Amino acid sequence: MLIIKCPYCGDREETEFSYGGENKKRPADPYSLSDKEWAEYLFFKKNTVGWHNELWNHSHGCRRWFSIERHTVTNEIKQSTPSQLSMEENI
Amino acid sequence: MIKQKFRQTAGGVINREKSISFTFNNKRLYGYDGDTLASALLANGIHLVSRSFKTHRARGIMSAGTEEAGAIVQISKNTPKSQPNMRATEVLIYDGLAAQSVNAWPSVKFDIASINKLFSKYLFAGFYYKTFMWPKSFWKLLYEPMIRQMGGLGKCDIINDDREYERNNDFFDLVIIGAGKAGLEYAEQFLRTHKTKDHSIFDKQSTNDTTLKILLVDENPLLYLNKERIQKLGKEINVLTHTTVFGYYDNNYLCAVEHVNSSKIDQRIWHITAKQVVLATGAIERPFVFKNNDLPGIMLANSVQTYISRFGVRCGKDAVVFTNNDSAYQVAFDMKAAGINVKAIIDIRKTSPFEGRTDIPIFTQSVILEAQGKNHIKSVTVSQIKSDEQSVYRVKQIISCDLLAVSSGWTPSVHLHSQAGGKLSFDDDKACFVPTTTEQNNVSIGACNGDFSFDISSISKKWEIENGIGKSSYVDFLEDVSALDIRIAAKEGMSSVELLKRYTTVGMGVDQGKTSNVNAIGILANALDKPIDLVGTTRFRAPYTCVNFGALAGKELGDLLDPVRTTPIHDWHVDHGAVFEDVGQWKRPWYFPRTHESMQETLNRECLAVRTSVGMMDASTLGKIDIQGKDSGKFLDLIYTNMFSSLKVGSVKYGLMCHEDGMIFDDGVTAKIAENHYYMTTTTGGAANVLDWMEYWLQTEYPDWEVYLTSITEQYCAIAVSGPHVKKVMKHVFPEESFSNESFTFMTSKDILLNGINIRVLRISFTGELAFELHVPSYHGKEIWEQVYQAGKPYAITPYGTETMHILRAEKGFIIAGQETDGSVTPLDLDMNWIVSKKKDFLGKRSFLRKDTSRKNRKKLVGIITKDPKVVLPEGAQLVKDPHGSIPVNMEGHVTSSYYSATLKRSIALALINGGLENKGKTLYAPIEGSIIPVEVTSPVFYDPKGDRQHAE
Ligand SMILES: [Zn+2]
Repeated sequence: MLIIKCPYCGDREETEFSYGGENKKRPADPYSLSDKEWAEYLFFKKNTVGWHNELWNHSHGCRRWFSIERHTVTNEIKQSTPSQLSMEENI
Repeated sequence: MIKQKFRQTAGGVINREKSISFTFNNKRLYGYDGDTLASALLANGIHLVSRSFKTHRARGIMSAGTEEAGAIVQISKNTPKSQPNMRATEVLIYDGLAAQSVNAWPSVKFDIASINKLFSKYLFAGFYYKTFMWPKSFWKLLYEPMIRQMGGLGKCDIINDDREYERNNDFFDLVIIGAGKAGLEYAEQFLRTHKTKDHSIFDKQSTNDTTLKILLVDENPLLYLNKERIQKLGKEINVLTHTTVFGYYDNNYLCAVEHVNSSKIDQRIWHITAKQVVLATGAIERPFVFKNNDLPGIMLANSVQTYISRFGVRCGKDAVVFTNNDSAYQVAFDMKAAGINVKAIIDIRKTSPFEGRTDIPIFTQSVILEAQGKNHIKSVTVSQIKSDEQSVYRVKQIISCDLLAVSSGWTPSVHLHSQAGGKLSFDDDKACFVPTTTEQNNVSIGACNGDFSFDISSISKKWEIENGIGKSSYVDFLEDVSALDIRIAAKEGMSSVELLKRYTTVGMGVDQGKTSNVNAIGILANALDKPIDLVGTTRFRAPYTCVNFGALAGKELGDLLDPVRTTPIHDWHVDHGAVFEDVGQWKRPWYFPRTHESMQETLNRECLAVRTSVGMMDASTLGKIDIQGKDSGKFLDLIYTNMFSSLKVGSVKYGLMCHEDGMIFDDGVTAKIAENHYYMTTTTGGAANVLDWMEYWLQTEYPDWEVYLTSITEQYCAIAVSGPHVKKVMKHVFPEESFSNESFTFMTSKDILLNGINIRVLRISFTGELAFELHVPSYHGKEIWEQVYQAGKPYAITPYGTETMHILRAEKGFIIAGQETDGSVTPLDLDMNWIVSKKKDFLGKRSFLRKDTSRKNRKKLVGIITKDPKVVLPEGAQLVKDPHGSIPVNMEGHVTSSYYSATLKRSIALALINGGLENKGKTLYAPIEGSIIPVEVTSPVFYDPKGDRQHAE
């Protein structure tokens, strides 16, 4: 059981959250992308070994989305960031 | 009362004032309060407890703790408290306890020599793999019946477990596991040197000023521990005794089982998160591997000492001690002091530091070649090792004895350290694996870290005495794995311990290889001629010890297993005989059968009632989301494939939602209630996902948009009323309102006040008939349902369930998201181009331009009718063009919905097939279990194709 820090509610148990996958930057203009580039965004995940920037939703709590840095091997969690901030910073 | 022949008159922690009566294999025996089953049996001179798993050899009590691999029993057989696979060393006796041997067929004392022989012929190393490779008939005819009769560890009784279990969650700053020497000293030292509110030890930034929460856990009952010191500690910190930490997971998350044994609670599972963990779990002594080393009466040396000091029990009269290290000497002295005749100490080493310091004869540079005896040890054969340190002299000495105490070294209990991701390495001097690095916030101290209270450095690294091929030299007593099995595995290419484990099942018994792992690794290393560190050890997995499924389930049983969601109208459905269907956690009426009606007869009646008169359905489980804010219209344009911002107040629209890959994931109708105020409905199963999805876009991509989403699923009941007579029913319920087409047009909504209740009425139709949906505040749901039902009585209004709803919508070719769609279906695949806006962007639109989503030959929605109208296709049936084509036959598609339609007096189906309606009029075939059903491709709209009925006046 992971203890995840919701940036709004604090430390809570994993069961209160739902996983949102890799925190990917959405392309600003999908129509300017080739089919291949668009498919890269839609279907391909990094499958990182190590620190992984990912989205979670506090679905059984405040319902806010946010991102965390989780180590995929040790499950250590570094920081959590409200989603709108993390999306801006994430490249 | 029968005298306990091997009990001393004094000594131990047992209460001699309180006699306990129990049975073992139906024989009445007595022990004392504080005894384990093992100590009570030993006090009565009983060593032979069970038969081994595969070869049915006699097995006795070999330890005094969780590492027990011999004395396996079943408790309370054929009762609600039945429990197989219990170690006799861990079961505390109580009045009325009934214990049974396992694998004792026909009885524990009867040696089934012939079967034994037959069996060992087949149960060799790699048995499972080799046997499964053989012809199937061998398995069915020979192996399986034999194993079923002979094998298995106890029997699972098919009786409900009536014990009570519970679960507790807690957080601690510090958890110390093990209240032995190291653990106790650590706890006392910690309290002496740290302030009780100093949180900075664990968290530098902490501003917390509460008292530190510290927990000390030990698997032994308090009685067996240092009671005084623990009780003193208990005044300042939390103490849990008789509690085993069995799992160590990520983020310092621990699971433990507490044996409460009170009249109310049997066991309690603890889920603990700790900032820091101190492991003081001790070490486990290893047995020697030699011929017949599994005979009852051969015991780990320290356990013989435990039985004396804790229980006042002598494990025998005439004893021999066999060791390769110093620790067993103190045991021998204690045995002697307790009145056991210690005839010899056999020490593998060249010299012993105790020579000349005791009058017990010490045989140095000697080994025990084999033990003799049938159901109990009678004697041992001792021989001296030659100077080459390999072979032994031919001169042998037989020493008769009824007890052999062995110690071939110590294995630190590194299970939790390893479970937590910590690494191990083999310490050559100490002849054991010790912790090296840790992955989590924990530290190992004391014996589990290889820091023993005696000098282990002089240990000899010999623990197998080779004598013959090693067939009866056991490494794993529980899994019946011999030294020979390990050598066979090595010869057959099992070069690492992981492979060895799977091949021979060594270490896979209920003791998790606590006494066998290191011996097995040592023998494998020898066979491969590799250093032990290169053979390696496996990562330990939870659970450390057996845990009851009942304890893990706790209170989450029966009604508490999963929450049940019911609508406020539920009781009415129950009263009217509804058969329910589970939709997620919801209970939905499936159909309302009358007496003696078959399900199909009910469905026919319900369907015809809606088509010819009027019916009503509880649609309260639909997801309902209130959407407000100045950007609501713009937001819905993003979420739905069609335009909502241009919707007029009071209008209702059906919409589809797609993921970014262009695939449909939900649908429903949304009404515009007021400027910047929408009322959305979703599918029953999709409600939570839709809300998460919409919040995702608002919070991540469009945080500057002003939109507020509120789930109101449970705040509103929805009642769908449908059929040609519906307007008369509505007029009766709402006498003030006009339901003419002019004043209440199709796809509009009105909030109507009825006796102070605001009811949102939507004129929408999912049946194709004239229809209204009443959205009522939940508190009044049943009341309004009842009013509609009464108003409908002159027209024989018929309540119907989800199945009739499905049939009626299929007759109209209306899709159900999740039935006609499966995450690979676009709106265009359903020929719903009319709902895909060309004027605006929306989620999923970009993907419609992808080559794959825009290709012509995608699977598309069609109707299917069987040539024989009585045949109803199974949903999921595959459709082919050529039923006699060569395999593999091309699949044209599959049936997504299929029903018998009473309205059309024939079966109907919807399907997704290559090219869709281009195939209209063509014949396809559904090969179903040997028969081939010819079908015709039609339009998916089977009834009222022009849609006139829902607009009727
Ligand atoms: Zn939260």
